Amino acid sequence: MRKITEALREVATKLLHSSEVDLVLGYTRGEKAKASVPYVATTPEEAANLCFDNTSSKALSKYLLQDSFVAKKTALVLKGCDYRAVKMMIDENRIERGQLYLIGVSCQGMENSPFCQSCQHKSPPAEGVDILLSEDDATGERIAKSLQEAFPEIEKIERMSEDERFEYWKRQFSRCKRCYTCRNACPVCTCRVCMFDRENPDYIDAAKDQLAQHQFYHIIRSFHVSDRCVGCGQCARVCPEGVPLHLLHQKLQRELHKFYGSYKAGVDELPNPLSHAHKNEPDFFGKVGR
Amino acid sequence: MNTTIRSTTLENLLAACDRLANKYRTFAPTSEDGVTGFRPLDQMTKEQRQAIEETAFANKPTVGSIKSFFFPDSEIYIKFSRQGRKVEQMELEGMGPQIILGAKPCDIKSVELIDKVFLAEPVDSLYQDKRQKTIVVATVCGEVGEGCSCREFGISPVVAAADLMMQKGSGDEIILTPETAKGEELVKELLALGSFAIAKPLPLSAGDTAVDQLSAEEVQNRMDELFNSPLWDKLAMTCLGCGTCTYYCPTCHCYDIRDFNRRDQGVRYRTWDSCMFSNFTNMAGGHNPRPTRSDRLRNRFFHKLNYFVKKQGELACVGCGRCAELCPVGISISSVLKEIGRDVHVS
Repeated sequence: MRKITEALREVATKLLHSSEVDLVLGYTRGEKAKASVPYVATTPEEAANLCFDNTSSKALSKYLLQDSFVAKKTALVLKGCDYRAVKMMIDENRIERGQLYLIGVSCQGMENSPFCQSCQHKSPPAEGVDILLSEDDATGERIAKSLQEAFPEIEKIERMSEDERFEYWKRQFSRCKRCYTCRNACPVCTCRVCMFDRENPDYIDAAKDQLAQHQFYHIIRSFHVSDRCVGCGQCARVCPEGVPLHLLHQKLQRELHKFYGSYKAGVDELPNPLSHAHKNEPDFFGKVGR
Repeated sequence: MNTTIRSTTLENLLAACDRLANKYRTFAPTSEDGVTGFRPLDQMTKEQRQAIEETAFANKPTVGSIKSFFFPDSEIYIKFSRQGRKVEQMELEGMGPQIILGAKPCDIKSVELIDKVFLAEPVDSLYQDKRQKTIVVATVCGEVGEGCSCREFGISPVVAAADLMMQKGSGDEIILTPETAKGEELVKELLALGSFAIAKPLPLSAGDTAVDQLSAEEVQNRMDELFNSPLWDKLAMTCLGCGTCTYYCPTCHCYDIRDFNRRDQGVRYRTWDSCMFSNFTNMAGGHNPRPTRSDRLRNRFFHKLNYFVKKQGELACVGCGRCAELCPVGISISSVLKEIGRDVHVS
């Protein structure tokens, strides 16, 4: 990824030097040598700290909703998945395209990510971004796995009996502390006020020793993002307790495809299947009253 | 007089803990789905039980810290029920004695630090109760682990002030040396089971805490100068505002008090809260004294490196490295200490 890093630094330096943008949102080498972390460059000198490699896994798009970015002209580094999140936010009028300079990068996939192995949108489309950086000696896209091959755990869980499956998720969710890292790292979890952040709502309790509350949180969140998921895999990657949340979202997505046909968030146009109602849709609750 | 005892294997000790299950609940560090943490011995799978030894003697603390044994993530204050117009308070089932097998020096120090908060007047009786009923068995690190910086915070990786020291003897042997009356009592109970022998204590390393230790006062003063630094805005730009750093930090101890009612029954409980959440300081009426991520981030680091020093005389960080390891965007105590002019990160 050295070529992309070099090209990225060059572009960022130019943009900051000419004041075309106020800041460049990208990645830099983290303190832990093993991964790069989000970074904001505000001067041409700082642009030299930017980098991009196969550990640049964090989604950057959601930062754009933060106050510190709202009034700024921002250039941001976008992988294919992150671009899909940006497109959705633009389409939903959450951010303004005119305020952004999009630096697309041709992504070769992140380390150990089942999503990346089955990703068909590694790079943003050239017409969607202001500049697209790629390795000129790239040997082409890595051979993509099918979704089935990339997520073997899903079939394994599907084959379990109902009790086994319940035990499996019980074990996983029992470790949850509701630190909300999965939610906050998710680029498509963009509600202005999250339902779980309201003061003392009746529908959920903050107690962290209540398994049912963790299940409620994760299942609700999964429904909320299932048709919006862009497959960045952040939810599971950032979880301190290793809860495989991505499996939940991926499974729900497959179910949605069965009922509503194929829909790819941030690739296909809005509306996404769960955000509108159509009279011909399957109705699981029965049409004729209760 | 301290009696040191020898167990032929760790499993022998675990079996003894099983036999004492009527009196003590034992918790030990193990691994579940690749994540290390303390689990009750009576709920472990065979594989998890086998993973205890490796996890307990690793040069690294578990993902979750031992603070939750004294300050659980959720804890009930009162239970109440209603009948007609009468409200009745119900008796709480108290917790029985417990053994924590394999606490690390950094975690033990962190509990000493939050003792200063919970055990000062007015004493937090729920915390005190658990503190008194818990026997902490320490396993020290052989050396400073990767990503750890305990020494800079005055903690030796090879020394711990626990109730009992658990060390590896020759071969598979485990040597237990009591350091307190509570530890001595447990040793007697173990000896009475007949599967332990009296042993010579292993020499304890004196440690070398002097290496590069940070001066709490110096850090505190330097932080005062940094209050208006652009550093906080800079760090806050990439902060996700999640609760990972606070929930996994062994010295973070903030909580919220809430009620939960259903029909005619309810509880009042406390639950971990995080100063990184926007509603942490939100007031009735909507005013928030720390409205931005930058304010909240600054508060967290000031609590660790300045306010705690002013109130309690020590830094509220034990260098366990969890924030550095777990923060998805790489913000940690060393991000701030670097600014102070000290990079404590070793990896």
